[in-house]
Amino acid sequence: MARLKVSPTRSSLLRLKKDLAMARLGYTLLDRKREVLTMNLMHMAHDAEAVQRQVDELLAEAYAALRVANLTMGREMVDWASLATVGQAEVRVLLRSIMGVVVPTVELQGEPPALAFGLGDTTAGLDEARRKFRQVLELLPTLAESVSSVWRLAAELQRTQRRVNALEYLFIPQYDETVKFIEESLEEKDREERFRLKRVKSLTAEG
Amino acid sequence: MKLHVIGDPDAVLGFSLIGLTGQVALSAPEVEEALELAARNPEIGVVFITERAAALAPEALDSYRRSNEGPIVVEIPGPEGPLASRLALRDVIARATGVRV
Repeated sequence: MARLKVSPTRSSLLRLKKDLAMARLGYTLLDRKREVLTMNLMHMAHDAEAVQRQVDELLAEAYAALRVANLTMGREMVDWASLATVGQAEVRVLLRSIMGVVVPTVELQGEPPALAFGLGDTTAGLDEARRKFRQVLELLPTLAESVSSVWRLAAELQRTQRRVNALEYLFIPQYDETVKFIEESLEEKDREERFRLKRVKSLTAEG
Repeated sequence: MKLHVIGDPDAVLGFSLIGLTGQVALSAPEVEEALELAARNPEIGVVFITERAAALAPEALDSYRRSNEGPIVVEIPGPEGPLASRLALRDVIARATGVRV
């Protein structure tokens, strides 16, 4: 491990030791953050995957129903029907923070829009498609919430991991080594000084 | 806040039947533009993007997905069903932790 380029003096030793203590503290904190993030991720991953599977299934049914509607009514008529839908599905997004990561909570708000097209022009196939898509809609907030939480937490975990590694494998060993080096060279200087004094003393005693 | 669908025409049409807004996007520039427009619209809280469209603009998608700001962007399967290329959530975690769950 490379040593830092500092002069081996007592003042830089003090400074380095202070920095090193800081780095160790930072390491402990980041390590704990990593643990909490990992725990949260594991916890969420399970739910997220379950809801993802559910959406996959329901959505496949919804697409199939839509295909039937397109075939029986003609795609153009389905397009028209979609234009006649009044209102919009609304959600409320609340944000909370897990270790500095903004994690959303998503809730459906109000009733999904009502049927606004006449019964004459539309078929049962279209109603079925709407019903299926509405079932999917009910799962979408949960899907959005859990999948995006997993992505965001994972991104933060990766960043934290990088910092922890940088401290553990680069920063701290480098500082450790430099501190050791300075301590040794200071001791060496001490010994030289002692020897010089003894030598001077013995010379003056002879003379 | 509103929900918004980007990508496959069938997905956009299907969700528009129950009152979701949407933007058909079938090429990489279209997807990127649709994402940017959606991100700039403060009304839109969540964007659902079909997987095939998502695969066309992976970088743009990733930056939204990992960011703590802007709309929530989530992939959903298109009419062709879930693609094999979709990154499973456990792989996302595995990449982050270096540990398989």
